[in-house]
Amino acid sequence: MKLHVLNPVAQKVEEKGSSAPRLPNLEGKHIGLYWNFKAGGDAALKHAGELLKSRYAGLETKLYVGSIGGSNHFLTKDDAKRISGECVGMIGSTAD
Amino acid sequence: MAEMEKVGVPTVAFVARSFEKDWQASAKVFGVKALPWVTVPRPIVGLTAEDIHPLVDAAFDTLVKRLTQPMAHEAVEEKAVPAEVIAIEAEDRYAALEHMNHMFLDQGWGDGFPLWAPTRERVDAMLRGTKRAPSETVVVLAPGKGLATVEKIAVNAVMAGCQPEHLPVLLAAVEAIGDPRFMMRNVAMSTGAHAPLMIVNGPIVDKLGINSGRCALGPGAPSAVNTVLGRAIRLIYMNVGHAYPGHMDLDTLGSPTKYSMCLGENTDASPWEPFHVEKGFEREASVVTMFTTYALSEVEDNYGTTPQALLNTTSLSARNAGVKSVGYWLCGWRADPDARVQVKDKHLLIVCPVHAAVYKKHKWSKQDVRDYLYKHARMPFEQLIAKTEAAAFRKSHPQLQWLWGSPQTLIPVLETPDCFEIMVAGGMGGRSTYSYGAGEPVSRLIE
Repeated sequence: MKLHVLNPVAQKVEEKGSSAPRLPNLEGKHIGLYWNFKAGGDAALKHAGELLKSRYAGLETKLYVGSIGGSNHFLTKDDAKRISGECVGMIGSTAD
Repeated sequence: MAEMEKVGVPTVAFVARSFEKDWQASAKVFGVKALPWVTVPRPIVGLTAEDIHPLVDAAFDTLVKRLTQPMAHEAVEEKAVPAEVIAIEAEDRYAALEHMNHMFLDQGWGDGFPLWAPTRERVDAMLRGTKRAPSETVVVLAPGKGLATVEKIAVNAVMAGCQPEHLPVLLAAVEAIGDPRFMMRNVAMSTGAHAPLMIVNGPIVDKLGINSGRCALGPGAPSAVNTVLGRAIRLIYMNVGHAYPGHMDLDTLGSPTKYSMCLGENTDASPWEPFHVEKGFEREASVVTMFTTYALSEVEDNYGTTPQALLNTTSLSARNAGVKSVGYWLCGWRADPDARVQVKDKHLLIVCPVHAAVYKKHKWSKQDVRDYLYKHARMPFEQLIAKTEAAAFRKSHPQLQWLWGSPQTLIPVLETPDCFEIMVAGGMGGRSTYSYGAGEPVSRLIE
């Protein structure tokens, strides 16, 4: 015999988007460090920033945090637009 | 990070091993399929800076590469999508049901218990429980942005063992968990054991036989309807919201509360207006409220004969600082960055009838209870801040920074008195229950 059953899985709504072009080099660039306030993320980002500055002449870093949230602070679309005017690349930390 | 890529800024993020698939799946949902990351061998939580530096050193060359070279797209491993109607062949119906259960579990579609077969006939019968069209999208459900159509909800309801008359409750419940204030993305994906608690009020409680009395949150025949309703919500989290264990549900240990939690309010034993009336609904309306809970604590007190005595015991449960939402407000609020919504964490006191009678005798209102808990469920600042990110506290509450100089100051475990939600349920016994919530309850009318 054949038992016919319905698939329970919902179709996903997928946003269309693409990654940004990569940087040709890192010399003299402004790189953002995005910390979501998860434990340890600040230490990881700070150290990554120091390594970058020691290796690439003129590179500068700036720490960013999200504008809303609690133990996990998020970047909103407005935050992303604002930050995109201040840095050309970004390193983030999820902690997990 | 996806938002940054979308505005043209190349990114890379540290992601712990075993979280990469979730990173990829989330990136896809957020519209950037190849969101670059660099793997570190373990989560960086619970480490000193000295422990973290070698992890960063080892990842550094890859990190630079990700900023300067396109990352080879590694497709998220996804199983082939089975047809909308699946044929199971077997020698008889019992074997077919068994095969279906194995197949559904292989796909990750079940909760581990035997499932009812969602045949076309059963799903059609379920759909007769509502006037809404099967193709209607109730919500787009986070974290996977699944299209929660009436039919998909009905399929999962059948699998859980629900009856057609249960469907309107589930449709309203799905509307509630799809409300940005419910913070579905946060509570479904977290490493914490966030479990959905369904509270039902109004005439539908008796009509459907939802247990609001003895063992209302427990197993067995008295709570059979509660069990299948709560179970259906869990299946909907997975199959509609795409929050599968290990894949967009990254719970550290899990909890039995995540299988099913549903109860009615025992309004006969309550000295107060029903929970849903307090939320602005008519007394005769049937309403479902969805609330995320981290854990439940017993509040056993067979000796207290005054509200103060009972609430002193309750305060002991409320001061369980090991639970995330105890004192969470110090670091800010739950947030949905897309909807730009922030909510306070709330806790729910489920008052047993024996304790409710004490409040009634002494004419204590819910507000009296809230005010007392707010005043007495307090802990020293230094204890609460110890498990909180200090930078988040500084950003969220600049006006409270004086507390660093007065670390023994007693701080309320919740931000404001209204963060203590109160309802009445259970049988006769001196045992209330304290539920540590995550976010706030969201209620919807059952139509």
